[in-house]
Amino acid sequence: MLGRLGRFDEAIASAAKAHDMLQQLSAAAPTNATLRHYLAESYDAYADVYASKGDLERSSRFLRETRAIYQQLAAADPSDKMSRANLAWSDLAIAENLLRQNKVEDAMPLIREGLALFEKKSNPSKGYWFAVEVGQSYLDLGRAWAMLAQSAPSSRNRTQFWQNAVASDQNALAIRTLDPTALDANGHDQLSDIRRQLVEAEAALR
Amino acid sequence: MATRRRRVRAAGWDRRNQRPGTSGDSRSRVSRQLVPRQGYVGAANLDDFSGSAESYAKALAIREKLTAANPDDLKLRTDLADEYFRVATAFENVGNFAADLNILKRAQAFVSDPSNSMEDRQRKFRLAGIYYYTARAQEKTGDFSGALGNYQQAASALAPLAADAPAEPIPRAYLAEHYIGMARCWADSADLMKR
Repeated sequence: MLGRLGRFDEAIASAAKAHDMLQQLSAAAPTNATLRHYLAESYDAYADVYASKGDLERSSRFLRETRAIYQQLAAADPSDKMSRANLAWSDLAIAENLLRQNKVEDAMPLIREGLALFEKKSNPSKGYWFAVEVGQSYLDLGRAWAMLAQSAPSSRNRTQFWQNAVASDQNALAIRTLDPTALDANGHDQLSDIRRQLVEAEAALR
Repeated sequence: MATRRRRVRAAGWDRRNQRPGTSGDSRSRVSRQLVPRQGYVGAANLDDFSGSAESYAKALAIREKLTAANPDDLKLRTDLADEYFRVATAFENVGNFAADLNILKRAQAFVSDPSNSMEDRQRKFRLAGIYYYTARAQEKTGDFSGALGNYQQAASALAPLAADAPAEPIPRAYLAEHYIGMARCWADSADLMKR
């Protein structure tokens, strides 16, 4: 089965088919928020495919399209929490692409923005999603601090950045463990990522 | 380090675009927290999931008993078919994918049962929805292979319905969602293999 997975041409063709259909539908009903959501998802599918292929520039271009739609939806309807959450996920996704390109300074504000949006829209009693969303934001923040620490010009800065990384990872762990599940919304073991990253940051600080 | 991201909840269909006569009105107060939708139910946009899944599961059990006791009541059967989607979505929203998949299995058994006299188009539409929601749950537990298969089945079931009614936006929009799921599975599994 895995043999027929990971086929980029089919993935792109599938994303294109969806995108074309949704562009037509959305153009015919421009005020339909759900169709706009779906259209944003189609951009996101493209972004996923290109990110998997390693084409991060193109992936980020699609993510910015996704982000623009969610921003517009959230502005049009302040009660639309899903758009705000997805806007925050778009921020994180763009930031993660930037981190993979070693552009930490560009990624940091997006991570903070995503975190602020998640923290604003939810609270710990919301369980699973709060744990996944805020946990991922702190995980990304910890990763960004760790990358800054690795290239810090002075030992003083390096120590401070590693301390920030540890603090972020500890926040991620505390929040992620509020919910008993370990997987994120993509079926990935988010909790193991957090623990691994925290161990690395603590080791670097010693 | 691999990073994972986003897309936590699929948007639901706006009720104004729903075809009439497919959803019941006799919903409990709890059930109204999610907008009833034709066959598929999008996730709640209220961000208030705690406790709702269990309430939905109880409401579903009552509806199943009512339907079994009144086998000729078409409205009850239609309501039950819709209710499965609501309950599955409620479990998905609290991250309980095992319960989510269990509900979808019950839904599939009910919708596939020829004795429920469901109209053929509605049956196929709902079956496509079951495949789609099953795929989503599998995707969220990392079973991209199973998810891809179910997205493909969903698309195969829905494509003829979308082609038969080109003026109806719902089947085409949902079909597009199935293609998006397929693209994501291909991408995610490729990403997985790189780790």
